[in-house]
Amino acid sequence: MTAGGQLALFGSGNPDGRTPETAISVRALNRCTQRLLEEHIPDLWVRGEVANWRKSSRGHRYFTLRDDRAQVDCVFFSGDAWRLPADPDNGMEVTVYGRPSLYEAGGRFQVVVRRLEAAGEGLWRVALRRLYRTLREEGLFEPSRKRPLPAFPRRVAVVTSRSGAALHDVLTVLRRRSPWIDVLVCDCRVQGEGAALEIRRALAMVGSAGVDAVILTRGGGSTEDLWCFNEEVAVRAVAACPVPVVCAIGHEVDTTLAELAADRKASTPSVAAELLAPDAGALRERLDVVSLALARGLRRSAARGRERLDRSARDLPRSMRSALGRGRERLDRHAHDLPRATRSALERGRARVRGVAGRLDALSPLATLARGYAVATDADGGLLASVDRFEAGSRFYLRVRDGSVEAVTERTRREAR
Amino acid sequence: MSERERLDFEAMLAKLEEIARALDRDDLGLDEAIALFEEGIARLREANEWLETASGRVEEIIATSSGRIETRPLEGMDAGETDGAPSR
Repeated sequence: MTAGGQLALFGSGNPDGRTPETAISVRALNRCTQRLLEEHIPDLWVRGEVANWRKSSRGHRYFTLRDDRAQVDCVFFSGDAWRLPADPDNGMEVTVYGRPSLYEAGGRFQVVVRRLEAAGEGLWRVALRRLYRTLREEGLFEPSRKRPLPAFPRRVAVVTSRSGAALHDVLTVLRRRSPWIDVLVCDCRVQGEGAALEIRRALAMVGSAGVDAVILTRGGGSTEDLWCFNEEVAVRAVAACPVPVVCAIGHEVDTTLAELAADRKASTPSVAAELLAPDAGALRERLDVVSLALARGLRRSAARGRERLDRSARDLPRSMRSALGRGRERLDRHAHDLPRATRSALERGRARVRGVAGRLDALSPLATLARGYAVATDADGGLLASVDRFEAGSRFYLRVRDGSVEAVTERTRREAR
Repeated sequence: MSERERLDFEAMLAKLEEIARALDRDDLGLDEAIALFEEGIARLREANEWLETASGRVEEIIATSSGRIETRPLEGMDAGETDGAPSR
């Protein structure tokens, strides 16, 4: 860098640092150096080993990148660093993309990092593996945690982006197969910074909205796009959902932790909807099966009735025999009690005879005759109680208290009543 | 949605299958069988009718700026109305 170049930096008439009188401020020096660096060195990739990695409360990361001969300070601001799936370990070999610059206030040469990638399997996999291990140890992916999906959901929530194709696919399948299902759509971002938190919020919202099941879905995308479904808050929210969750993220080959924590993973948004929506056609077939069973049942019942009648007719002699046998048995049993029973029957008989004799006395015509009345009868003893029964010259008998009198009818006279 | 549409299809199907099983019992009298059959047919008709006519709503759940949670009809999505789905 020539002195002339330096002069040009400060412009004419300004302090240029050539003499004590024109000395520049520290701030001007740093600012000038910063501009020089940024104007002359483009953004570039630098490879090195991470050391002294720190994260500030605001989410900025500070670290040193070094090799065996040199080192440089790096700053990774939160606006870019949120994309990091995991913080690298110290000693990890990484490449960073950024701008060499000077930190004005501290006068420090540093690289302002925009991206950071780990060599080898990469930070995505590192992060995934770490979280997977933690959550698995907690039992979040246990098959025993999986709840069965409702066979006939009446109300289903769909948590996805309002503008994604996945929502269209899910709605189409639900309407076609089970048009009676109420659908509750909850819009949330499904990629980018803060998406995992939105997923958690959406799941909490639909979880208390009285739905029978939830579909959490989004279409295909890059690993980075799908990353929010591997973030701890989203995965835990899926596991904590009070109703069963069907999860379909990305293409069939992608598997996210959210899907592992869900009650059911589906390969695509449409398949997720199919898992929850019973097919109306299949239900109609089940009704047909029932209707056939009803008809068969009635026919069988009628046939059974006929059969019973036939059997009864066939079995009649035998049943009579057995009835006789039972009767005999009862007789034998009673014979045993006979003497005692006879005695008491005699007692009862005597008492009844006494009662009947008394009543007979009261009713007998003999008692009436004793008081001086007579009864007319024909030769056979038939009662002659009306003038119609007497003819002039006919013979009849009068029964009196102590015998009978033979008599002849002179004439009859009817008395008016 | 009317009460008729609210019928619980799962319960309805379970009841129907129970009736069909009862009709299969060997100790069933003919009068009982006829009564069961008639009940079954009535319920079958009900279930078929429900399948033909029941239609659900498509709504959106949102949190308002005041933090209240509301549902409203989902607008700007036509998937619910396509593919010959019954009109609502």
